[in-house]
Amino acid sequence: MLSDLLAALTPLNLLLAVGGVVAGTVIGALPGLTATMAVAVLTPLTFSMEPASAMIALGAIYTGAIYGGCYSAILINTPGTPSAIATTFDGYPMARRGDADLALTLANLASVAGGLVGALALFALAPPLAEVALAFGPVEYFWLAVLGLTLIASLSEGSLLKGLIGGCVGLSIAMVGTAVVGGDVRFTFGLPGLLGGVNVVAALIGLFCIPVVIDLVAEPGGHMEMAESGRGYRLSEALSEVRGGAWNLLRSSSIGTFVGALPAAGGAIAALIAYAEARRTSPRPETFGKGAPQGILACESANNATVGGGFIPTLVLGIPGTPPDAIILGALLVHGVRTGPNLFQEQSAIVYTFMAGLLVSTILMLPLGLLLGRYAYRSIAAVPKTLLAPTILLMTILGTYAIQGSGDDVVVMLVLGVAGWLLGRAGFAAAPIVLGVVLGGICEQGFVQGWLIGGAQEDLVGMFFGRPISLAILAVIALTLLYPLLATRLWRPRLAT
Amino acid sequence: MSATGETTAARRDWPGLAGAGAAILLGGWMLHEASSFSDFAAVFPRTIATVMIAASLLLAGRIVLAPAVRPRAPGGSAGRRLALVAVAVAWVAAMPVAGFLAASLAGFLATMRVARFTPWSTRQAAFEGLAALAIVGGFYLVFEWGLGVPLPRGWLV
Repeated sequence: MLSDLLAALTPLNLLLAVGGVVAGTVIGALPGLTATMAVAVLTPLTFSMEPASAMIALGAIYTGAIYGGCYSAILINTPGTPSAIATTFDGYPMARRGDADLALTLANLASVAGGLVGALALFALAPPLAEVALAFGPVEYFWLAVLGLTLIASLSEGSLLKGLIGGCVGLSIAMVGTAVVGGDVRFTFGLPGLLGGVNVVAALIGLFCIPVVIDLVAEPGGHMEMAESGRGYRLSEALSEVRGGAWNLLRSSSIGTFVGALPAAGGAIAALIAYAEARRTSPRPETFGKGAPQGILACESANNATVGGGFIPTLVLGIPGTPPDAIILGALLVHGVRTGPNLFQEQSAIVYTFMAGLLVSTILMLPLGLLLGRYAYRSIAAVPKTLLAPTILLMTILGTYAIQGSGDDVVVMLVLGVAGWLLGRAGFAAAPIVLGVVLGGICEQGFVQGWLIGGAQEDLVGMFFGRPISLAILAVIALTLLYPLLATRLWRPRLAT
Repeated sequence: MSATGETTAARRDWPGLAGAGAAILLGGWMLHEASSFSDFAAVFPRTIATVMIAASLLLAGRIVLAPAVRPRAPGGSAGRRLALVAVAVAWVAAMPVAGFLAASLAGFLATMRVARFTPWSTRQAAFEGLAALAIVGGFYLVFEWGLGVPLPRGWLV
């Protein structure tokens, strides 16, 4: 086994890990180009490699792409990948107030920490975690989505009702197209381009990015507060924040690992749940959404932990945990690697070399990410607005078009962007709307399938409220919603006395 | 007036009220549309529409009965905002006709003009014009040739 692990450290494999992390990070940083696309585009390059080297390259691309999404989330309020949605909540406010350098360093440290926890879990806990993931049925997915939706309470910027309405608008957008159960065509206005639904990435680019560009051109001032010169990476400040938030980091990484292991859940949901938990347990929850460093630590550690977590069902069961895992699974088949319960016995050398490679790639992300982040920050801060505004607009149009080569997606992105700006002016924040768009599909599918199965068993209540995992998630939901009330009404007065 | 000179009197949140009204209309339309769906496809839209209408009615009632502070009015030029939206729409509309490269170059230059608050010097204009060409061309090469994304073609490549 030791020799298999050391095989990841050959010059070729190290070079592939470096190249993969850099390529993945750059692609992930471009709005519209998701981690799935990064892996898909670069997979053919690995066909001529040895299987273990190919897996290392693909793992490095994947982990780099998930991390790269934080750059545009922090610097231009547009998540490079859906996994970085929650990073915008605190990352962009930090950039606006002149702390973009600190935010990028925090995101780097958190991504590395989360990636390491996920990769170590892949080493140590793969078989038992895969079994728990398989126990998740439609109702558990439904409650998981509801848990994500409870975040609306913290993203509503002063009005819970407006946040709730925004969340409903997002869920309505997610319902456009062919129904996930039943197959009815819904809310398409007769437009064929909407039959497949509103693309999540197009929606979030529009809702987050277009309002930023609209406001950017309206005033002569700078895009963001410029940091004082000579502050470097602000590593000591970031490390101090990490030490203070070690439990937050560990909890968020664990959430990311577990959610990553759930087929089809993914980094966006993991980051949102981790963010909600970080806010709930924070002694200063009011700072979240206004540039709280702990918010960045939570979501960036969670989304990178999904990489290792997602490989657990992929390798142990042959069921991809996330969309990029599905592509990697296909690549493995091309290389003659058959995933499944016998993989660890029959092709253990490849698997252990890959796991070690994933660890190495994650560690390499630390220096590479810091360097790339600093370059990205300097570039964005130095570019004059007359070039920055059209470049962002070009990236949004191009990135949206590239998702599936569709002009309809670009139109939808623009319409949602302008609507998002108008709603923002009326006090309806974009974040709850995006939350609804992201969680709508999984929420509806789980709800309707659970309703069908419960109805067939003539036990709807038992289906939704009688299963152990559902009850555990419900307990977390109740805690999330009631915690602020309990904390202010019951516990804090006692502490005060 | 407060010590800082800012108006402290609460004003009705008319934009919020308009948003609530729009959400009620959207919810009503969803309920109407859902009446023609199968039960499986209708249960979720009905639930969400009902919650949306209820929340919007509560919000409207709260705004009318207890005047709240109106969200801060946007600063900056409304004309430039409108111009940017117009440029973006024209850019997207021109892509299938003129091709990605020509439409994007024109859209890019028009957006530069909208975002510019001071006149260009000849040197600035030359530098930023070349930069625009390099950025649009660079992205075109990366996506079309590097990533294999087939971009719209038209008059130009």
